[in-house]
Amino acid sequence: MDAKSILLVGMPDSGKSNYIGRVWGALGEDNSSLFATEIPEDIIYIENLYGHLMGGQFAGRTDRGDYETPHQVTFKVAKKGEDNVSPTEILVPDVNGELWKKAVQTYELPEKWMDKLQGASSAMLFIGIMSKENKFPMDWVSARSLLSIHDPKNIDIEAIPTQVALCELLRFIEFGMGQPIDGELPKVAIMVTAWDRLDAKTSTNGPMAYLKQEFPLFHGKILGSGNLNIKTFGVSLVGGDLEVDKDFKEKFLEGQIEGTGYVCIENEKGGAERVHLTEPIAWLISEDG
Amino acid sequence: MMEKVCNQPECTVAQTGTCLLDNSIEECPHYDNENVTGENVPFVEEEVEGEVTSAVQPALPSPIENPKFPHSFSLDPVEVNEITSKRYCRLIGILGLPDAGKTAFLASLYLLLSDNKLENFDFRDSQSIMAFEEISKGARQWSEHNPPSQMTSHTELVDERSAGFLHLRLYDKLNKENVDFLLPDLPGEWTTTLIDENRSERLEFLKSADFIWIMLDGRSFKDNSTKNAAFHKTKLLIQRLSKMLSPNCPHICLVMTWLDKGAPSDNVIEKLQALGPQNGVSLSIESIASFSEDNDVFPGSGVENLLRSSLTMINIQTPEFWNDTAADADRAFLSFRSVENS
Repeated sequence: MDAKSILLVGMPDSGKSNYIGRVWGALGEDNSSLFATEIPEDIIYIENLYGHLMGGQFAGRTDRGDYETPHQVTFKVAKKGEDNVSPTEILVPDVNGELWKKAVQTYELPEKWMDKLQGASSAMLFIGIMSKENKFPMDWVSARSLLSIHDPKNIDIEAIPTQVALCELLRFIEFGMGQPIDGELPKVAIMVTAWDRLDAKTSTNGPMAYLKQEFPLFHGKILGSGNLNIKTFGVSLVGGDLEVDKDFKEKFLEGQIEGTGYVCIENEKGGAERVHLTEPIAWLISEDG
Repeated sequence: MMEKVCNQPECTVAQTGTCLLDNSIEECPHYDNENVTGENVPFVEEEVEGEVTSAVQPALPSPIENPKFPHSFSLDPVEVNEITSKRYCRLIGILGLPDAGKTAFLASLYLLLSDNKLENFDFRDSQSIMAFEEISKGARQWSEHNPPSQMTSHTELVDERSAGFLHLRLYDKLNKENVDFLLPDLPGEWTTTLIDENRSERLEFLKSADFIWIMLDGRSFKDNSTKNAAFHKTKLLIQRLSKMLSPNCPHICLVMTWLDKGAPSDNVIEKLQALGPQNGVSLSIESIASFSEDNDVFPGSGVENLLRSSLTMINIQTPEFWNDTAADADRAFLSFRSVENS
């Protein structure tokens, strides 16, 4: 069987674990092009994540003392309608965002994780819309006054703008995975999560337009990445904001989680359309571009 | 328990109880009861029935070395060579006295790109993005002052003698192509010593520059009490450069900063412009306001113009053949000129 590993990359609170939890349930849904061919042996972790979502809650920041020990989630999936093709095993090490935050600050990655990066078939890079962790470049007035202070000790190393961190993470992915596999460029899915937090107009312009507006450096780097095959996806796990929108949460709990959520992609006509939550994974593991 | 150490770094009294100089411990002038910081091995002395025994404290376990990604601070010549061996880069030398505004210019350019504020240039990449980030926060004063003692753990040893480089790849919307710029990180002092002492050995790589920007503090040309001295220094600098870089001196652009305090007068422009033909160099003048205290002049004014006019001039000039004998091992990037355009 073909084993493919997808590495999850992203700063804290960017939506990695919640996506994995949601997609586990989504594999069984009607509109999914993929289905799970068997139930993994160790499902406690993944069921826990999915369970949170069913209860109307996003799982909190993955709270582990030892964030360097990978928690492996394994799916075996096949495409619906393809009977004689053997399933693809997908290994998704669930990684704490602190690991990547530290990598951006220090350029270091524990050996276990560097091995996983270099052995990965593809990667997913997460950004959370309006995450409280997101940081933006300073305004001109502050920049000017910082320049005149000349005091390096005033500098807050913590405050690296999110778009710079994203550029670095993409650079790390390129460094680790950069070699073409069988002549194909390695694939990276950019997952812009909490897509439902956007207003309708911004939403209909699709994820790249959103990135260009909010994170221009990162948007530019995506366009300039010659060594990776990159696609961007706007992701809404359940179709609304469980944390902030009480009405939505009530309605959600009255109904069922199956069928909720979607992924937003640009179409050829320049607009955006909605596809199933499992589409990013389907794209990552497919042979074609 | 007492911790005793010997001031002599090679003394093995800690391990063997025997003084290197064969002195008794009590009498040796180098041996004292106070902790001495440094490379001495601290040890514990115990007296057991009149004998002195000593044991060495266990050494601290060495920290685990994690694998590392390549850094994204300013690049050394070897790292630059990695880039130039793959694609054609426009090398722009940026000179200027301390406080002429080099740092502010770079910070301004970076902030403009960060906010998608250039009309016809889009960001595509920087292999030295953290250097830009630091410069924009005033953490790096473009080597004007001593490098901050507090930097992150991967600070490489700063070689006083070689310049660090910033890298920037932009998409040029007018010409519909990517452009790579290399901007060397030159301390203002190097310009000073070039003018005052004609010290130019660290500036040899300017011979391979496609373009040179000389940042001039625009305010000094507005103030009557300072403008003559400012002009004089500029004249000397151009003379030095012309002598050092001829017969293939790159085009020089005098970049007058602090545009928000007022544009230079026509008279000043005329006099500065004349320095070109007087010294046999091709010369132009631009004005910028990296930041602005004037509501009518937006921050970053002139920055895009400067990029555009420089790029246009670089593109139309025919590259001269460079004599490679000046290149040595760690400046191998100078041979980038032989790489075809990407």
